[in-house]
Amino acid sequence: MTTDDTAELAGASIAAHTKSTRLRRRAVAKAITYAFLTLWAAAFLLPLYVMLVTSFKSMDEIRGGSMLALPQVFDPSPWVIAWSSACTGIECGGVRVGFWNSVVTVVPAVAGTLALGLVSGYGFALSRLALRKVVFIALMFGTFLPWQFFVFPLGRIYSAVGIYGSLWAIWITHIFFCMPITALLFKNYFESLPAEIIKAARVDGAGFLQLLWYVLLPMSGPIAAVAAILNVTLIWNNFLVGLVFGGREWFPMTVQLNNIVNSQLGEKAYNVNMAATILTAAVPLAIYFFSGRWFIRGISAGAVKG
Amino acid sequence: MNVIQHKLAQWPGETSVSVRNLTVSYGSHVALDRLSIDVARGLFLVLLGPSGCGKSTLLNAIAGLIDAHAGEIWISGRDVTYAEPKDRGIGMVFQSYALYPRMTVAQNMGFGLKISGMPKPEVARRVRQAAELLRLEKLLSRLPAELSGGQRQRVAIGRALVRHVDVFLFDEPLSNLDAQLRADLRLEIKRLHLALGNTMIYVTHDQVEAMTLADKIAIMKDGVIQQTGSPTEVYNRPVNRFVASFLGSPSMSFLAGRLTSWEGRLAARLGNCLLPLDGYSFGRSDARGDIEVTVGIRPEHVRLGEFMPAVCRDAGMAPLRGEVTLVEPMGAETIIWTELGGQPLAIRASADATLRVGDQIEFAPDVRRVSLFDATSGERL
Repeated sequence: MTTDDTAELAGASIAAHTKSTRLRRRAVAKAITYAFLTLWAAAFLLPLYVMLVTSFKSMDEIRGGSMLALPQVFDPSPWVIAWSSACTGIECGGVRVGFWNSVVTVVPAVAGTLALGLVSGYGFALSRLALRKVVFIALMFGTFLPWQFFVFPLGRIYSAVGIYGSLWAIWITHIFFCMPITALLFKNYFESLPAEIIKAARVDGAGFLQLLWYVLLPMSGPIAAVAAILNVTLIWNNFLVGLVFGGREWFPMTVQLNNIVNSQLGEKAYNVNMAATILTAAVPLAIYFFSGRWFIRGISAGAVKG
Repeated sequence: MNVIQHKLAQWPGETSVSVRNLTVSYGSHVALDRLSIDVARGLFLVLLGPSGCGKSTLLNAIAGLIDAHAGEIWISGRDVTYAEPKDRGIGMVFQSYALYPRMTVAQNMGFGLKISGMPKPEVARRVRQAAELLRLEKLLSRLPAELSGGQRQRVAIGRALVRHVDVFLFDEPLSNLDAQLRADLRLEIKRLHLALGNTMIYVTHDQVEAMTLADKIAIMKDGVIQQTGSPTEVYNRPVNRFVASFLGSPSMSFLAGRLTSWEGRLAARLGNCLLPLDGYSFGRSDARGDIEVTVGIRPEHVRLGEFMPAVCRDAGMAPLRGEVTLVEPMGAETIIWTELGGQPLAIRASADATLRVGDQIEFAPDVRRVSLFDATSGERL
């Protein structure tokens, strides 16, 4: 064997060694990543799993068995009770009443938020008024103040104009709180659009509102979807506004759920409570489940040129 | 006076766009400083320059998309300095096409007319007319996303056409297209100008577009128009070194030298050689002294294998000779690099020249067609 051959063989073995080491390292890294992710997923999914299996068990089984066990007898009746006949003190109508209250709260409140957020976001993005930056900073500052600050003054104002305890008070409050972040979303979106489209519309003679209506609004689908998802979830999950301003008649589903879970006498009906909780969470859950793709797309819209 | 007589009365020589002492600034940065230019009716003017030279700013100011801080802009005999873009009688085509993505081709073209309140049948008629001219009839119901780049830009041109305006503004309309489409659309725009006779102002940094399209080129640098003239004029008699270097590909060779008199004639001393300047027409009568100059020689103005008496040290009166230092085949031609007075010089040769690096050549610059610049100011002598 010549020295040349030896050198060549040594080279080959180094290469092989490096390759296998690299592959092994990559496999280990992969395994760690997966283990970590699985752990996190389990931490988030376990409560949901427990709730789900508990809601289909009878009370006897809940008392006797493990929390993690599947129901031995599959019993849908807690769901029926939770929906239509669970009691909050004296009334026994289930979370159904709260569900419809939440629907009539959310739909107009989200529509109003989107409309106002769109127009103000557009204004902040494109108007040439000198004060717009100052107003925008003030608005953003307002968003980050805790809601509790506003409860008392708003209550006084609503009383004074006579809408305290009505749907109007709930709608106005929700719109008031959700509009700034929505405006921010729209503002950033409009600012990310190609400037030449807006120039072209100006040459075509589109005025301030025509530009919004004919050109920008039809392009706003993705960001409007994001804003809608965000606001539906925020407003649906809200507890305080409905509780404080709505009055007994307009308690949203979250308040209704709390009343059912906390006001039962005697033994807690865990199965009914679990079912009622899942029912209350169902709307935002479904929205995320079915529109997650849209959400991501809208959030990243404008990040890169389409 | 009927329409045709009216047109004839205005034609030719009437000013279509007049920019007077225009100043535009962004914050503290002055992009254009008291710039003036007149564009005759029906002229195809190309604003040419490197990026950041203010050509797009000027175009946007004419369109009304950027505010003028001082000065005036007149279009078709009206002072439009403070008019809205739509009221200026202009149509504009953008680099990124800037089509409305959720409107069809027909809606894109008709949008401006629609919101101006024009009756629908008239809008449809004008859109159809423009579509025929641009061969877009079959695409009218498509969305922009379903079109190729070239088609999109034709729609953008159509959007300007339907407005029936006197002045078209183009902001680097071909820059986003690939080479083949760019050449096609360039021809199309030229054809359109011949057919319509509108005033067109066209911004580009591409000298080929400028040379092929323009009736007149205005070359800009740092917000200042350096030279305005026909393509041949600016190409053959550049007023300064910047203009000379910006036009021409491969570009002009610049040789540092000294203007001197030799046996009663004017000559340029280049390194150890003397290049007689017989036949060069000086633009400035004071250019006689013993001053530093830059001699600009375009590659096509040097002939290979021809006798040119010059005086190089050691050799006495002899033909200009050099060694080939580099050969660049370009397909249709070949660029031969050599040295004159120790400085690189490009020579355009025919594609079948079989020269190789190291070969000895004789060459002859056409002195009547070189450009002579003052070495300090860069101005043409």
